[in-house]
Amino acid sequence: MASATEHAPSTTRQGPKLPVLEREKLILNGRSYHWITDRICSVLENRQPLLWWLLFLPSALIAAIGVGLSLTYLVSTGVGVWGMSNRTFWGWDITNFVFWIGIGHAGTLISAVLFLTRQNWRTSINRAAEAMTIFAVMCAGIFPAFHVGRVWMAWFLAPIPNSNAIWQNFKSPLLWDVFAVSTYFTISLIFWYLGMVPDLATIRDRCKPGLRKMLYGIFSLGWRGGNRQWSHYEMAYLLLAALSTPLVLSVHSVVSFDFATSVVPGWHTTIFPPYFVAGAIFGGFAMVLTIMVPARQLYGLHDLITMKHIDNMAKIILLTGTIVGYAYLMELFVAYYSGALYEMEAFRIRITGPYWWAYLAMMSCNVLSPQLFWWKWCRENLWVVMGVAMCVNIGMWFERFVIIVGTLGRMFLPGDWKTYSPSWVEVSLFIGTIGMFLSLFLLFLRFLPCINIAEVKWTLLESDPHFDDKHDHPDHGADVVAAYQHELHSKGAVEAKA
Amino acid sequence: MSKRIWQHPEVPAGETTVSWRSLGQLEDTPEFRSWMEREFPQGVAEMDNEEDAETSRRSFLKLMGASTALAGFGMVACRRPESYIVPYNKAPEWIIPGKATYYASSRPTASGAVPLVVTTFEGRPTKVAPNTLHPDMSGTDAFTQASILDLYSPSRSRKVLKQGKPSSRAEFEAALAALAADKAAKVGFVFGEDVSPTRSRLAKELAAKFTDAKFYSYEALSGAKIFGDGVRAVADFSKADRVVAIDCDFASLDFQGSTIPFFERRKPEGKDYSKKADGASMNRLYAVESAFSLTGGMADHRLRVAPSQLLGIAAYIGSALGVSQAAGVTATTDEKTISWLKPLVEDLQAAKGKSVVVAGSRLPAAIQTLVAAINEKLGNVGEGKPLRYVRTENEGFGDIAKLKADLDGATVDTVILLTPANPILDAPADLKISDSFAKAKTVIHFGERTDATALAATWHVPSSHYLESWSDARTHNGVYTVVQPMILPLYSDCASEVEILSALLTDDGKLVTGEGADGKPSPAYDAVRKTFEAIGGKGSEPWKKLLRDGFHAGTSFETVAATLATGALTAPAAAVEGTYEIVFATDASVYDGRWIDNGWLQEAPDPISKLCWDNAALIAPQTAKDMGLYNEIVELEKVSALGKRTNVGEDGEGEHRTGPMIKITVNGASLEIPVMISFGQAEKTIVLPLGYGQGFNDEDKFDRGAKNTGTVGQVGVNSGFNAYPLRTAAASYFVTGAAVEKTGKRYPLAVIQEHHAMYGRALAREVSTQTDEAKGDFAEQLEGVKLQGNDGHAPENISLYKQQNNKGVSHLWDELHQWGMSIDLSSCMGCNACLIACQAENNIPIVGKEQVARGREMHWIRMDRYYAIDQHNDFDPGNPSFVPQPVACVQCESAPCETVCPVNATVHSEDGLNVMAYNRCIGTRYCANNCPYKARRFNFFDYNKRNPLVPHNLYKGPFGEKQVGTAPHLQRNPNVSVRMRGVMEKCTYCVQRLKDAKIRQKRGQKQEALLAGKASPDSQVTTHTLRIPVDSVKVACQEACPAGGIEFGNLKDGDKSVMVRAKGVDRNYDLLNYIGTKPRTSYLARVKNPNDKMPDAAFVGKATIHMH
Repeated sequence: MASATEHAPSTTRQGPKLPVLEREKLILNGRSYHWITDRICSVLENRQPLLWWLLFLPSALIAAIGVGLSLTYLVSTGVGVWGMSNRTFWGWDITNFVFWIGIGHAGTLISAVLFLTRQNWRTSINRAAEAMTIFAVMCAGIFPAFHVGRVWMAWFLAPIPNSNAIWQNFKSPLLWDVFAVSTYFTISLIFWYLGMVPDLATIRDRCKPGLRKMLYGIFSLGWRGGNRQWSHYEMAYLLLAALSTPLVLSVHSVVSFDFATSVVPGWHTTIFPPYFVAGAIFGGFAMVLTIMVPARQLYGLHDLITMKHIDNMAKIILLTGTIVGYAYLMELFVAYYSGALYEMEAFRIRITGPYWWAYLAMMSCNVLSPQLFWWKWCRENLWVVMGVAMCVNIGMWFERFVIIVGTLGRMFLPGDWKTYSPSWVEVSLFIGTIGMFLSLFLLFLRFLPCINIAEVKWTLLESDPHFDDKHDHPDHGADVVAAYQHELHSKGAVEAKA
Repeated sequence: MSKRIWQHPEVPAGETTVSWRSLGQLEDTPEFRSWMEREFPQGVAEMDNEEDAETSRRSFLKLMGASTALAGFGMVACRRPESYIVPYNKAPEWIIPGKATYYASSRPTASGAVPLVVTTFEGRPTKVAPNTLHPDMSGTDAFTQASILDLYSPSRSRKVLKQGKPSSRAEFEAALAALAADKAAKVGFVFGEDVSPTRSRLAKELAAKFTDAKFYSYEALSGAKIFGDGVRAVADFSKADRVVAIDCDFASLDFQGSTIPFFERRKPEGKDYSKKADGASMNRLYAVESAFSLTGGMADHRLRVAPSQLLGIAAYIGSALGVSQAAGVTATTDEKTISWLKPLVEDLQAAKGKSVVVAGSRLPAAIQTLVAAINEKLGNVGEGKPLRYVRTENEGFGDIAKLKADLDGATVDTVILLTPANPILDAPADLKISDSFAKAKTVIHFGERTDATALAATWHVPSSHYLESWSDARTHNGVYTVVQPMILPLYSDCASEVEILSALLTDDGKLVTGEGADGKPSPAYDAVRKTFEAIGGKGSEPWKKLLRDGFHAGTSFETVAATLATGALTAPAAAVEGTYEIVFATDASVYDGRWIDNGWLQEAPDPISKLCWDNAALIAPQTAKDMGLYNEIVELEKVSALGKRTNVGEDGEGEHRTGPMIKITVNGASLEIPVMISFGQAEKTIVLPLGYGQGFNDEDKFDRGAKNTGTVGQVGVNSGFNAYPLRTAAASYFVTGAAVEKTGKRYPLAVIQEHHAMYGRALAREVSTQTDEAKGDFAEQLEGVKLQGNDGHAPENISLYKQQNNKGVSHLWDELHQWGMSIDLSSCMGCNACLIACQAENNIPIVGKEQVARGREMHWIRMDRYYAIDQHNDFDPGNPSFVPQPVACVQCESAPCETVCPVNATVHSEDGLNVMAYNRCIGTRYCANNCPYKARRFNFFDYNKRNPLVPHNLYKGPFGEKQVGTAPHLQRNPNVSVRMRGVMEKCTYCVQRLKDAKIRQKRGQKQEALLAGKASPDSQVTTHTLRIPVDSVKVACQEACPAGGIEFGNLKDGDKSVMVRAKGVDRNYDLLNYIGTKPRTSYLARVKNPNDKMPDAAFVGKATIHMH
């Protein structure tokens, strides 16, 4: 790994040049355009490694059984096959919905917000993160759609004119959810697909004639890579990025309104929207790490997804994790400071009540475990990174569990208090969605470019049209590249000698 | 077929409830007549209103019964109903499909008939309500409300059995005819404890015909008859300023006289809230008891003692008052008890002639005699006094011991069991009555269930339900009350008591049931009419009036004097050191076991323990500690790391709470039964509710008894544990000297409420008439009711929404009707009558034990009950106060459920209801989560379609067994939707009744205008004419309440409405006021009226906290 080199200050026409740290390379080992194309395409052009099959087959099976079977049972028999009661009307269903929706957050953040803020490091991970978003939202959608008592009447949620002239209740956060989530899914899907068009064309061009070429041909929409196409494409991409940026905030804010607009102590707090958004980004990045680190190892993408990327993501997890921790503590403080008995009791019961262990799991996984990322070696050690990411995944699930189940079972009247435990049907549906998520992701790796081929090349210094213009480019791009390649060459020579 | 005519009175003039018929008469023009002939040929016959044929309406009802059964009654479900609607080809009199008709009847019980008004739809009785015209009206208890389900119960006996095997009615008729012909038959008749003048008259005739006939009366839970043959005591609580209950649950399970006057005097503002609150107008109740009863829960002062101590306490009171019978009895010497009793005695002395001491009717004769003597001494007895002795017609009946002796001595060889009891199960174990029955030549059993006695008898004949048969009865004060049928017996083998007795009186002994030949009325009808002629006079007018009103005014039992035993009293068993005492309690769900197959009662939580579908041994916490079981029981509250209960139920299906089982050995018998902690009952005392454990099948894993005996139906099978074998004739109420050992087994229990304290939340509020240092005097405490808990600190609720338009008119506001309800906790005892009335009215399904254990019961009214103990209570910290609180949807004006429903399925109506459109509901359940009162119920399964009582049936989905078309569906109220799975439901303030009342009001106005001869454009419609009369519509729970605790009405009626006046009193408060939901149902704080001289007076009336 290249280390930062300090440059001596010099004077240019802009004034005195200040010492700067050289940016870490986003693509290591001086890889050429050709190598990048080859490497990314090889993931889907070569036979899949054994591990892919070992992961895919069980995942697909779990998805088929977990989602297919348990939904069939649920719909044919009734919501009673789940563990809810007339006290706790939501359980794992909405917990899992919020969990998956939260995971879907990092995708848009990486693809849109980081794009608008010109964070070039996004290019190595945005495609996979967006795919993850799509799949996570698909998993999420299952829960609210099927948790209703009469799923065959779920179309009542859509503002379709009907003979009874009944409209939806636009005051209901659940209806906002329907709009927010469907908008988010649509925009994310378009954004993901649009960004993939040049890459699909690349794959098409590398294919032998046949079905495969035809399909990639259809989906690449006649992309030829012409200047006009690029010009339109970039404008469209920019606009979509701008369009989806507010969604990063809106979707999870709306999801949090499901709780925040209620009168339930423990739900009814104004802190929920920012806290949910921070939590979603937190959980989303953890999930990106959870799937990208193994994919990087599996397909040898070390030069494209570098430790720099992982380091950045770890830092975001540290930041958002701390925000989430602050929110947890602030919730407690507000409950205490409000003087409202029911509010105080709700939080006291969360901590000491029947679900104390869930609260503890949430606190330790979400607040304590990311604190490891203050230390650089923790961010550099992939085992630690993966461990923390897994902790965050678990912790974020428990956060939703604590909020939903821990609250509903202990509301205002002690006469109706009752604890909740899930049935095997709920558990298998959740495991099924994990299977579904994994198998969809594995299929994505198999058939679509998991790294943005076109965009990742832009981050190379040589992509800068002026990189060899010493006058325009104070960093002497061409020199830097030459020096870097020389360094690599000599290092390789030394290694070869050894 | 000849024209059908009701055995019913004419519609009184001015009555607007019958519509087209009156209109038709009104417009009896030639044009109308010809139109009518063309359109309704049968209707024309109707209009020739001549008594040209004398037939009973019951034959019509038979027709009705058949067509209703065929029609399956098109359950108004959320999906397209599958039904076959057959139009009448002969229009029955007064019937308008979908419109209810009401008839007066009554339910005979051992404590006196319950006068009723029965709602019928197209000839099907669907709901009972108290007959408010009746002088002895006392609301209805849960049993009466649930009794209608028994009519349609699938486990009802339908066929004649011989030696427990199916037989035919013809065969039985032959046997009966043979018996009738044998005038020397040594026949013994065993009646129930209810009083029926017709039965008594027939019994006398039978005694004349069968010279060797003997008569007995028997019910399992009736006590000693200390006043002499046929004499009983009736209390009039309106005259009692001080009431002492010695282990007597007179408010609920041990009826001593109408409860309504008692509860009226629990309201310091008077029964209709018209006076200023006055603590002195209230009565004061002292309770001394072993188990916690609802009466004890109401008590101002409650003392918990082991049952063996009761005699000593009665003796103490007796000797303090100078009662001679107390002389030979050792009075209690316990200092603490005496400090409690002393002021009580003083209070009684101060209220001579205006107090009453009631003893549990099942207590040993010694205690009852002492208590009776105390009442005599206090001058409480006599006409116009709080207590009077009355002579009933049940004279000359032997008891079960006599029956046994006669059977063993062969004085009787044929037994006809007409009692509702089940002697094989419930007779004292040491009588071994089954051995005596075996000696009899013939045992004929009549009953609604094929219970143990039915199967052991030679003959079992299914008996008609009281809504299927003609009879009569006396209420507790002896008012002559008719029992008239609403429908012909659903099953052709059924016979009624009077029909059997009538058949035996005839020479050929022909049994005629239901309807006589050629549409002639049943012989029971003639028998009752004949009895009535002697009481109410001959002619059709008094008879018609009787049928219309349900009773004959001015009749009463004769007041008599009773001579009490004066000799030495036989003391019951004394306490034995180191052992436990057992109380054989009357159960609030199955009574003595007769209701074991009633699903509504089984699913209604026990008012004290909140246990459904089972019984359990109830013990106090300290006793549990002594037994070394406390931790094992309490540990169940914990949840393990996977969210599972640490103790999963035996069937492994979920969140069951389980109880450790103990083995109780006493009287040479033993019983394994799970234990539950029950607060506030006496230490070292185990309460065993009776009546459970009557039959088991292969699902029973606890080896509780013989399996698949057929003695119970689907509802009662595997339900609970049979405590009768521990009970002997000498110790029929309690026994001492029981040994207890642990078994290590656990049994799953379905407990509806798991938390018993209010945790500092001012939910059910309570004040005291006595001045308290911190809370001030009674007036100050009343003022403080609205400030209890957090409410004094909650800022005023200001809505951001504009409630009015520019002209100051409220949005969406009906100027005619705005409904509201008040629930007075001062008179609510928590008895479940409202809960079951609601279930009957609103087609609420039962869900079975397993679903209840998961917290999925569907009752629209949840009967919360809280225990509270004053932390300074050093008198008896183990005796908490008990506050019930019925919670149903409170119809918030600003309802949290409405804003969150995404599909607008729950919205507000203009008359202030929070209405629920089942057809629009998709079941997101968000409304229920956001309901602070948790008053909403979700149909997790198709409880109405799939039988929840078949094990695991609900979980089989489309493969599960369906129950569509079975008899219980006939009970459904056709004006209320039957909800399918996946929709939310909740209390609607009986919206169907409100709509009906509004329509009737409008129609009445139209009729008035027509009568006045005005054309409709000329008739004036004003607010005044369209608003229904003040308090004229009653909701089901209000109607049923035996304590007058619920008031319902129109807020627009102002102070004319009792409900509005109730809401105006100081102790009115909104539950969870600080959320700002503006509920339409409000609660009135409970008032306790302690005696300030009592040692525990300072701890009474403090169940809730003040936060000043």
